[in-house]
This record gives sequence, structure tokens and C-alpha cells, in this order.
Amino acid sequence: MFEPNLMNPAGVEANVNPMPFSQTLVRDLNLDRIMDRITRQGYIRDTVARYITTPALDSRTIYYRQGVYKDFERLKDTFVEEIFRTVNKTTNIDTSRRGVGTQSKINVFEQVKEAVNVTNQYFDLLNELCEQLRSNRNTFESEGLISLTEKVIAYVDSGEYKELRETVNGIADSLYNSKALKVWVEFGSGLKASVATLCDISEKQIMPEGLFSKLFSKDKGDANDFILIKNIPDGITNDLENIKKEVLLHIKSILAAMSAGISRFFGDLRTEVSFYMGMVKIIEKITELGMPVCMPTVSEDKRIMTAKGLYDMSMVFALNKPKERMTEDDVVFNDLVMNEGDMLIITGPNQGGKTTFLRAAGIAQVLMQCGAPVPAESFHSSISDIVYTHFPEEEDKDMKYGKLAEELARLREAFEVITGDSLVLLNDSFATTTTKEGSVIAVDITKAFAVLGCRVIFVSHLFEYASTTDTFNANLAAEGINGRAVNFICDCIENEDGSIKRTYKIIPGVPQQKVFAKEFEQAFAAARK
Amino acid sequence: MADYLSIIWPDDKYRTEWEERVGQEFSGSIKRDLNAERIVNAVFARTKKDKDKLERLFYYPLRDADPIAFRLEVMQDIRTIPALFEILSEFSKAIPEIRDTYAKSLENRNPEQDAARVLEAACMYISTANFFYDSTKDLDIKSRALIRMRKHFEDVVSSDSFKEMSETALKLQADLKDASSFFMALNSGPSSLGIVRGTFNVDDSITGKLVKNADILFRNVQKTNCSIYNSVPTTALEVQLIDCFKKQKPEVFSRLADFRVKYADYPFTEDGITEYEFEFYLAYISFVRQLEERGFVFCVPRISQNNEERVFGVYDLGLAQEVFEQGGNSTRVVGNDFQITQDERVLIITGPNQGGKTTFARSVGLFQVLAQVGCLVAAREASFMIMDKMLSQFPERENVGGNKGRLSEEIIRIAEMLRGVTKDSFIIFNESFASARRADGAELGRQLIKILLDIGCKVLFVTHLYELSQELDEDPNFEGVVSFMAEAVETEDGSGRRTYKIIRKTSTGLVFAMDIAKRTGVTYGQIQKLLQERKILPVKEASK
Repeated sequence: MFEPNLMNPAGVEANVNPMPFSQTLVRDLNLDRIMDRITRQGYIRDTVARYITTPALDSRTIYYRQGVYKDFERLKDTFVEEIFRTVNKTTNIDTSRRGVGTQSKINVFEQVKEAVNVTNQYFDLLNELCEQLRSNRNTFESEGLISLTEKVIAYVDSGEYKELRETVNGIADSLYNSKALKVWVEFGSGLKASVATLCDISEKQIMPEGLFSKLFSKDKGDANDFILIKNIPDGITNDLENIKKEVLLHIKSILAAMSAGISRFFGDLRTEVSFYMGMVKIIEKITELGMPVCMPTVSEDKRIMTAKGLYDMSMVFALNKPKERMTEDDVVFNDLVMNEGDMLIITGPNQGGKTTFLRAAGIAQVLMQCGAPVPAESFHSSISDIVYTHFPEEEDKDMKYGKLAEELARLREAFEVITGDSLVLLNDSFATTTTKEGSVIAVDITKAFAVLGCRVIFVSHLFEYASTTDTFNANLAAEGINGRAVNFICDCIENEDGSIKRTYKIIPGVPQQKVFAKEFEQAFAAARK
Repeated sequence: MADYLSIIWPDDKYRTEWEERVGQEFSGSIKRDLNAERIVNAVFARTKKDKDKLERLFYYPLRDADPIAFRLEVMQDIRTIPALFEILSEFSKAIPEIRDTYAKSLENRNPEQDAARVLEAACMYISTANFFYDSTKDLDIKSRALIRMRKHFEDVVSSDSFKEMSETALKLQADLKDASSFFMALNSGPSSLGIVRGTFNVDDSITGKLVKNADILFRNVQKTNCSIYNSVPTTALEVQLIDCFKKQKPEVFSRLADFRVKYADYPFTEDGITEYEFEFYLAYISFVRQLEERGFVFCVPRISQNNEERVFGVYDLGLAQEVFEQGGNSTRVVGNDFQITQDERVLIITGPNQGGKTTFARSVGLFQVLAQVGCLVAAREASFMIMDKMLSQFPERENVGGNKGRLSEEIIRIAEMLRGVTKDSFIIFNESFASARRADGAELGRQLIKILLDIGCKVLFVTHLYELSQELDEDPNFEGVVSFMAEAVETEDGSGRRTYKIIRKTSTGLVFAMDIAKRTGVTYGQIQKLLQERKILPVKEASK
């Protein structure tokens, strides 16, 4: 099959399944705020949205896309605009294609002619694309664009394509002066005429004495090998007309399938081009604000995540201030080291930057798996099959269920699909019951995550849980489970008046309950309401 | 005499008896009260033919051990021999095809076309008979029905007449195909028609060239030919063309005529082999498999030899189907155990509203019905007694508001129902006398239960009148009564929370939050089990 393959290298099976819970992911990570930077066309934004929630699941594809991305970024004002114009032309031809044969009164000969015409328009567009790629081929550095170029040129220059265009044009020519159709007919079940193949449209009649008979009967011995019925009985005229019509409609349907194939190719190409254009736009906007981005690298064998200068892109877009005008309250850059088996347990007061930290990590992961640059100075991470976010639901959708039951039921669903490769982001989970009980549940749940071996970042108010990670880890070790909880805290300093000064940095540290007890209480009151 | 080949009746006398009974008895209680309709609709959702016939099998259960066992044997075979399901479904698809093809040979269109249908039916029959015997001969089949069928086809395919027919038919089929393929020249201005013998090469045709050279562009495989089939039995064109074929290949057509003369009366369709009998098993097993994928369990019930019924983990199949349709799995449906013995014949079920009482009653009733239809049942393990009647008394839905005449109507209906009841009958009462004052209701209940005990029938008595269970359980005059309760546990806020378990005693409560964790399935043990089911964690030997 003919595919543009700008998103996935040929031979690597593309992931086409949206991540489970991806709608929740988009909401929890504020991804809409990021995608809203794409203002040019709704179609482009939709495409980006689709690829964000349908991530690449192998490093080969990620690096492949990074390559194409770089070409698009570099050629955004030249080649990209050109190819975008070309692929957009498909939509017009698609409209004509859908119109073929819709006017019922047109006879079948005319319908075939229309189909030939539309097919030729697609062929012409394919030739146009080919020339565009040919003339830009020296500027491409990415495997994706180079192989697309080679593929298109190879087909357009091939003998098959030439013969195909000749056959199509031949049909159009001979239809005007046709004197005979030569059809291979086979009888089937119940000795009834069943299938027919159109062999030739001829501008001469087919007669026994002529060239035709020589073609068919090698020995010319038996007169019965060519039976000619000159006076066709009235009773069979309709049946013959019907066969004629069927074989011509069949030609039309093959032409339609051909057109649909090229149309689909251009449609796919349009989608893929749109994705890169959209991504280039987002990154352009963030760098305009003075923020750093980097091309991430993939950890192949270890489930880890390390980052320097990681920040929450959605927050930057929400503020929309240039970097030099930002205060340290606005955006915070965090460093992060998550080794294999680590589950980060982050405790600390409200408004301490915990949720922002979760988002920053989630967004970077998602963008990496799109094949795009990420908001950080450096980012190195393993591939997640699922980025799962468990954030508090705003409202209690199901009254009979209760809040705790609701959030636990969501987790149960998650456990039905997440694997050791998943990235789990828990935001204030189990806060809908007492801290004591919440902590008991948290132990069970995180133990289960540890068994799975997935990466977890757990932002929590559960002091009882967070302060007993030593015991928890010892228990895991005793059971032979490879995993450990690692405590992180929001870096805060208590002022003399009892108020808290935050740095918004997330750093390794021991959970502190007393200092912020008041804020904890308030948080629970709010969460349980 | 032809073999008797039914796979749902061991002997024709059972079928005759059953058919007499159908239509006389009212099946409403099974259909409506037990919600069997939902099951039956789900089982036969994709069935196109004979739906009524199949449904009747469910609404009128069997009363004899022999045919029940006969069917259960087939169910058991299909479950234990993985290949059998495909074999039977393929075989059952062929049955109507052969029959329909043969029937077309009798339409008297023209001699050649009619003869071709006989040949076709013969070829289909040959391959179907060979297929059935070849694919089942090495299988460890235990059911009487399938052994009988296999023996029949063994006799058929090893007979000389069958062998001779096979040889003739297959050769003729190939020659006829060749004789009826040709080039058609459609000339116009002036019109003429040529019928030309020759060698066809698809790559030389227009469509062949298009399909070959545009191969890379197609998303779907494109055919190089098109269908010109018409639904008319025969057309003038076909007659004309066949005449030409006869001139071109006279010898083939004379063999075709001979074949028809010789085999027109061959029994291509056996009496007693009907696709609907296969559909009974295949549709039900498909239904079971779908639910099994979501964790629901089924078993082949055993017919009790000691006049006792013991069932473990029975659940409401109607509810299971509902959960299935909503995309859920077995964790949302609770299974229960129960038994009926000489000492425990009248089971009184009490408990809070919405506690699972009615669901339990349905699950027991459906269990009984399906077992007696000869089907797998929704339980982990089960033995059952054969009941002569299955009756139920559920509140009339249209009368929910309650009116003055309702109680007396209800009493009359119950009295009428009791007339045909024997010690081998099974009755489910669901919230009887709910419209009466509590004291009256309890008294009526007491009287009714006394009567039921005297008859000796098996009863499930679901009621909100818990005093009945408290009083009768201990009363020596009411021997045979046993009490069950839909379980409820205390919650933090003092409201009862339901587990939907039917138990003999009230259990103690759990910590509130952990209880919810348990209910939603997120305790470590439950997740561990889930991960084992997902084959992410190895199953430990200790956990069963």
C-alpha cells in the first residue's frame, strides 16, 4: 500500500489506539491550553490532539519523528507552505470524486468517462507532488522526508504507472468509437451466468473471419469454436445490455478505488503535514516567550525519568508573559531524577507547586512520545504505553456512589489496563476519607504499582503514609518486590509570623507534618466537602 | 429405515410428548418473572431462522432425565473438545445450503440447469459428509447424539454407492465448468453476439491491467471480474448460451443428463438433521463464551441421584447479561450457594430492600429452568433435581400502586396455581401479600407455607416479612423451613450497606473505607488477582 509514512517509519507498526483515559489526560494536564496556541486551522489542532493522545510506543518512531520535525521547523516558510498547498488541493478533487455517477440519468459510458477524468486529476496531483519533492530533495535531512521523496519518485517514474496512465487514457479514447466489447464470461452455480471480465473495448466489430478468430482458435479446426448470432432475439437484448452495463460499471468502480487510494494517500499526508506544522507552531510560541525546549532522549531499557529545568508549559501559556518579566512565583524550573523502581511521593502544603510539577512531567512525557521537543533543558525518559492521571474529580457525578468509591472505582479501571511501562500521576488521591484510612488504602495501591513496576509520581496529603515509607519499602523488599517509595517535598520555609514562604521547588526530603498542619486541615476540609 | 439423527431428542417419543405439552402450559412465569426472555433474546440475537422454535425449547423445559442428560452430554462435548464448535457450526451451515440447492433442481427451468443443481447438491453433500466424518473420527466424543451422527456418516462415506457418486460428480463438475466458460463478443452497429472458445489470460484484459498496475494504490483487493448474477431462475440468454455450449461440448452435457437420472433421488438431506438443533447448542455456547470472557463462570449441572439439590455460586444470568451489555465484568455480580433437601424444602429469604432477594430468587429459578432445558448453568458447581413444574408468583407489575381487590385477586391466583402442584414442583414466591396489612400478610404467609409443606413441593419464599422466618424456623410444625437473609453490614453513618450475598447468618461489618476499597476491587489482594488474570503476575500455587 502507498502511504506517506511521515509519522511512522515503514515496517514499524503504527500505534493507532488512543491511550486509555486520554480525555482525562487532556483535561488533567491542561493540554487544551497548549494546543490552543495553534490558531491557523481547526484541522491542524485536531490532528495534533489526535497524535498527542495516540503516542508512539517505540524509540525508533520517536527519533524518526524528531527528524521530520526538525526538517519542518527549518523549512517552515518554504517547502512546508508549498506542500501544504498541494495536499490541500485534494479536498476539491475529492468533491468531484464523490459526485461521479450521482446523476442517475447519465448513461454508463458517460459515468466511466467522468471516472477517468477524476482519476486523471489525482494522477496529475501525484505528479505535482512528485516534482515538488524532487526539487526540494536536497534540503531534506530526515529519513521520513527522504524516503517519502524516493517512494513517490519511484512510483511516478515506474513502468507500471506509465502503463496505468496509458490504460486509463485508452479507455477514454476507445469509449467514443466503440464497436465491440470483448468479455470473458463464466457460468457458475446452477449453470447460470455468474461473472464477467472486460477484456477489451474495440473500435472494430469482432467477427469469425477476422483477426480475432485467429487469436482464439489455435487449430481453427472446429467451426463451433466461434458461434455468431447475427439476429439477436428480442428476449435476450436486455440481458446483453445488462452485461455490458455491469462490466463498464466495474471499470468505473476500479477507477473509483484507484482514486480513493490516491485520495487517502493525500489525506494521510495532509494529516501528517498538519501535525508537524501544529507542533512547530506550539514550540515557536513557547520559544518566543524565551522559554527553553530540548529534544528528549529515550531510555530504552530502564524505566526511568530524568530532567533538568522541567517546567509546566500549560502554565507558561496561561500567563503568556515573556520570561524576563516572570517572577519566581510564576514559573518554576525543577530537576528530577527517577530511578528504576522509584515511586515519588511528594508531600507539602497547598499551592506549593506539586500539581504543576505533576503536569510538567506528564506534558513532557506526552510530547516526547509525539516526537516533539519538550519544555525542559534536558529530558530523558522511558516510553509509556499509558500516561495515567488520577486527579480529583470536580463533581460527584454519581450520587449513589460516594466520592471515595468513585475515585477508587476509577483506579480499579486503571488497573485493568496499566502495565509496568505506564507512567502514573496521582494527584491528591484518597483524600476523600480520613488520612488514616486513606493511608491504609494508599499502601495497598502503591504496593500494587510497585509490583507492576511502573513509574509513579504521587502528590499526597497523606502524612501517615508518606512518613512511613521506610517501613513500606522494607515490606516490599521482604516480599521480594523491586520498588521503593522516595519522599519529595515542596521546598518551603516558615516565616517568623508562621506564614510559609514557598520556593515552588520539588526536592527530595522528609515529610513535615507539624509546620503546616493548619494548611493540611484546610485542604481536607476542602477535599471532603 | 432411516437412522434417527436428532441431536436434541434421544428418541422421537420425547419430542412428541413435549410438543403436545407446548401450548397447553402457560410459560409466562419463566419468560417474564425469571427474565428468561432476556437470556433467550441474547442467546438467539444473531439467529435468523426458527427463532420461535428455539425459544420454545427454553420456555417449556423437559421433565425426563433421559433427554436432559442427552443434551447435557452434547454441551459437555462442545466444552471439552475445542475443535467441535467450529465443526458443528460449519456442518450446520451446510445443511440448508444443500437442501436449498437441491430444491432448486425441482424448479423445472431447463433440463441442463436443473441437472446442474443436482450435481451441485451432490458435490456439497459429498464434501459435507466427508468433512463431518473426517473431522470427528478422531475426537473423543462422549455424547450419544454425536456418536450416533458420526456412525451414520461413517456408514455413508464408506458405502460403495457414495464412492462411485463422488468420483463421477467431481470429474463432471470440472468439465462442466470448462464447457460453460467462453469469450462473449458484444458487437454494436449492427448488433451481433459471438460465443467464442479460447484461452483466457487475465493480464491481457483491461480490468486485469488496471488492477495489476494500480495495485499499490488500492486499500482493498480489487476483483478483475464482476458479478452478473441475476435472481431470475433462468433467462432467455442463458438458455441460448447453454444451447451453444451443447453444440460445442456435447459429451459433457450427455454425462450431466445421465447424472441427473441416476442421482436425483439420492438422500442428500437426511430427515432429522436440522440446522435449528445445531443452533440450539451453538448459539447457547457462544452466549456462554462471551460471558466467560468477562469472568462469569458456567458449569454442566449434574442430575441429582439422591433427591437433593446443591448449587454453589449461582448468580442471576439476566443481571450478568445486563452487566455484559454495559461493558462490565463478573465482579459486579454476586454468586450464592443454596441447597434443597428433604429437611430444607421451603427457603424463606428476608432482608433489606434492594439487598438482592429478588435477584437471588431469579438466579435460582433460571438455574432450574436452564438445567432442565439441558443447558450449562450460571454456577460454579451444581447438582439438580428434576421438577415437574416451575412456577412463580411475582407481584403484578401493572398493579404496583395497590388497590382494594389486589389481595383477593392474588389469593385466588395462588390457589389456582396450587391445584396442579405436586411434591416434585418448584415454586418461587416473590413478595406475596405485600398489599396486605403486615399482620395479615404474615398470617397469610404462615397459612400458605403450611400448605406448601403439606404438598411437599420445593419453594423459594422471598418476603420482607422477617417475622415469618423468625417464627417458622424454630417451629416443629414447620419442619422443612429454613431461613436465609440478604446480607447487610453497618456503615459509619449507620445505614445498612448491601453485599448482595444471601447467607444464613448476619455477618460482622468491616472498616468503612477498606470496605469500599473491597467493593470497588482495589485491595491489594484483589488487584493482585486482577494482575494475575491479566497474566502480568504469575499465579501462586496457594491461591486457587
